[in-house]
Amino acid sequence: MKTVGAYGHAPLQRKNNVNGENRYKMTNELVVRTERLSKSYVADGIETPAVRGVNLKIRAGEFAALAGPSGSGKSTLLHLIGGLLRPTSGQVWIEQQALGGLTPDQLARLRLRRIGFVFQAYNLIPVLTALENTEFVMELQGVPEGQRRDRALELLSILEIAEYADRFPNKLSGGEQQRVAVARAVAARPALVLADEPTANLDSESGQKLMDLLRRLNHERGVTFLFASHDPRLLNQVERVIELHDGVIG
Amino acid sequence: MRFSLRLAWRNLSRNRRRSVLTLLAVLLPVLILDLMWGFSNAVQRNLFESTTQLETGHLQVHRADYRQLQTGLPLIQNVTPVLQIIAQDPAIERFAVRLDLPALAAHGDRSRGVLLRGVRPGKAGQLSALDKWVRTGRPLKAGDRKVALAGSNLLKALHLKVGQSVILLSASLRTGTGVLIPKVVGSLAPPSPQLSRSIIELPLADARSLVHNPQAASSVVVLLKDISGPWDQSRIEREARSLQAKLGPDYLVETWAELAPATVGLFKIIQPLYLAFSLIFFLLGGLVVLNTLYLSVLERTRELGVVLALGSSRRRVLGWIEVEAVLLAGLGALLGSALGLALVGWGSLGFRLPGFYAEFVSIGLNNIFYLSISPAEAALSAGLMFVLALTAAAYPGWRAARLEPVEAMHFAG
Ligand SMILES: Nc1ncnc2c1ncn2[C@@H]1O[C@H](COP(=O)(O)OP(=O)(O)OP(=O)(O)O)[C@@H](O)[C@H]1O
Ligand SMILES: [Mg+2]
Repeated sequence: MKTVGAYGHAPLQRKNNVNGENRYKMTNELVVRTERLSKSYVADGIETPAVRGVNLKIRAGEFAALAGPSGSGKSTLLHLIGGLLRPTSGQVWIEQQALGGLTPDQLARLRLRRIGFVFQAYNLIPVLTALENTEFVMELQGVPEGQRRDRALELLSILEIAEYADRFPNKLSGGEQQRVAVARAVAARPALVLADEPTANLDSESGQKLMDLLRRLNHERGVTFLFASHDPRLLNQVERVIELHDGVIG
Repeated sequence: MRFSLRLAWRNLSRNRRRSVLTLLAVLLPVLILDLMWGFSNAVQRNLFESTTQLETGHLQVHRADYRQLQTGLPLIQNVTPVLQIIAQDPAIERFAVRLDLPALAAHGDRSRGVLLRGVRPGKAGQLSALDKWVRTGRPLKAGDRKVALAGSNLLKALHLKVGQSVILLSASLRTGTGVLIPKVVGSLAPPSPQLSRSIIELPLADARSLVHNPQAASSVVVLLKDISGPWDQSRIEREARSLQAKLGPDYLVETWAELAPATVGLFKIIQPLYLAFSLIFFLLGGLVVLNTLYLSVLERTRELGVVLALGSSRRRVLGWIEVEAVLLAGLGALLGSALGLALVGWGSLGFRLPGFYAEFVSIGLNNIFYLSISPAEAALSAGLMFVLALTAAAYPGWRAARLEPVEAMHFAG
């Protein structure tokens, strides 16, 4: 396995910024780029355009959010960027790598190593406990067991759900599941986190704790975040809000 | 691999009901199939043994021209050289000399044409002794002379009773005439009424005295080693050819199949019937296995989508499904086989079907059935269900792995 470019763990951006505090921030390297990206769903012969001609650039270290009403195409755009859906037309680049040319397994490898996902419906694996769900992506990555466990437990306790570590998802509340899903996404140390409504089911206190954690990861490790949300509490804390209406940025 | 195993195990133990159902779906067809083979083999063996043990043996040696002879007795004048060859053949378990001859039986003012069967009583002679048919009185014993057993219908026709004597007259151009007046010590009840009207069993030495030849025999009945049913027919035929070669052209070696065409006819009806039943059951059992495993994987398409979305390769997802299917189907096939073989093994000691005694005996069957199954049959039922289960699981797994992760995650099976 090569360890360069999109396929390996590229070293974090180490270009120091002048004021030191944000030393990973705002390099000019693009983590995400889309060009005339469109996606239409076809169901029962009816074509629904969900994303239309989106040109988007997200630089390394950004803390950004897609905002827009329900049905405006936020989830669809996140899925396209993460390579979970093939666009109808247009192209996505992740760290210079065009997704269009990759096989499904190459896409999977890219996701595994570079991208963390928080799904709108959490999508925890029902047969695994909260802790095992958090460890899951690391396990796929081949992180040794002890290290895996430590990282997962640390994240769960930051998110104040360590006491539920051994519970199965069906014994967790929506908010608790959501936090496990976030822990799973960031535990694998991705360069880019795509999070779909990560605060939707949280009260303002735990929502704030979650945002603090993500913000810290953004600051300290330079992880790039792209959210989809219409939660004003989240939108107030991001550096950039990208408005989406009927699948169009504007 | 360890990861797949753990996930598979977790999946199985967390979805206990689904796992148990799937396990049963594989286990039961294997079990029932094993029992079906076992019972089918038992019936065939029963039929085969009733024919060969009591009547035909596996092989019989006659004079070469015995079928052409219309008149006179087709006697082997001196059976000793034949017996010497047979005694040295390692494939032969035991053999018995028979002397069948037509005669006239008389008692008081009544007489009937009868078939005399001269046999050597005792262990070696069991093959042709009619001990199983003895209804009243006693069977022949070693060393008996001037005694006889007669079919019960014949006794009635002659107004003869056990304990009384009967006059036997034989006459032929080749052997001259002979007279014997044995005492009837028992009655026989053979399955066929016709035989019951005509059969008289007597010691071989007495029968030989009627033809004035102490070396005479009409046939030598041979039982081979390790023959349990019609499935051993090719070995029987091979041995028949080998024995024929040793005995030369003066003798004719025939197999039970040539001697009992009626039984062969029965097999020709029974075997395809059982085959058809087995096939139908295979298909039914196969469908249950297919359906259950298919649904159990289809049900998880969503989960598979998540795993794919998180970055697992398709191969890994498929591997995970396959490990699970191998565990379940393997365990099911194994348990099914174990149970099936245990039951067949238990049934191989012999079991009685309640309430059918008269019916079975009247068509010449034993009322005791011995189940048996060959390794090939056991392997086939377990192996086929196993492979079927794997295929059934692989297909929806493969389909899920080919979906785009989002499609799979949104899959509403
Ligand atoms: N699998 C699908 N098949 C058909 N149409 C779909 C599918 N998924 C989404 N759509 C349609 O595409 C449009 C965009 O959906 P999307 O889920 O991206 O919106 P969203 O902005 O995430 O909404 P929400 O805020 O409610 O999550 C909607 O009109 C939706 O009905
Ligand atoms: Mg959405």
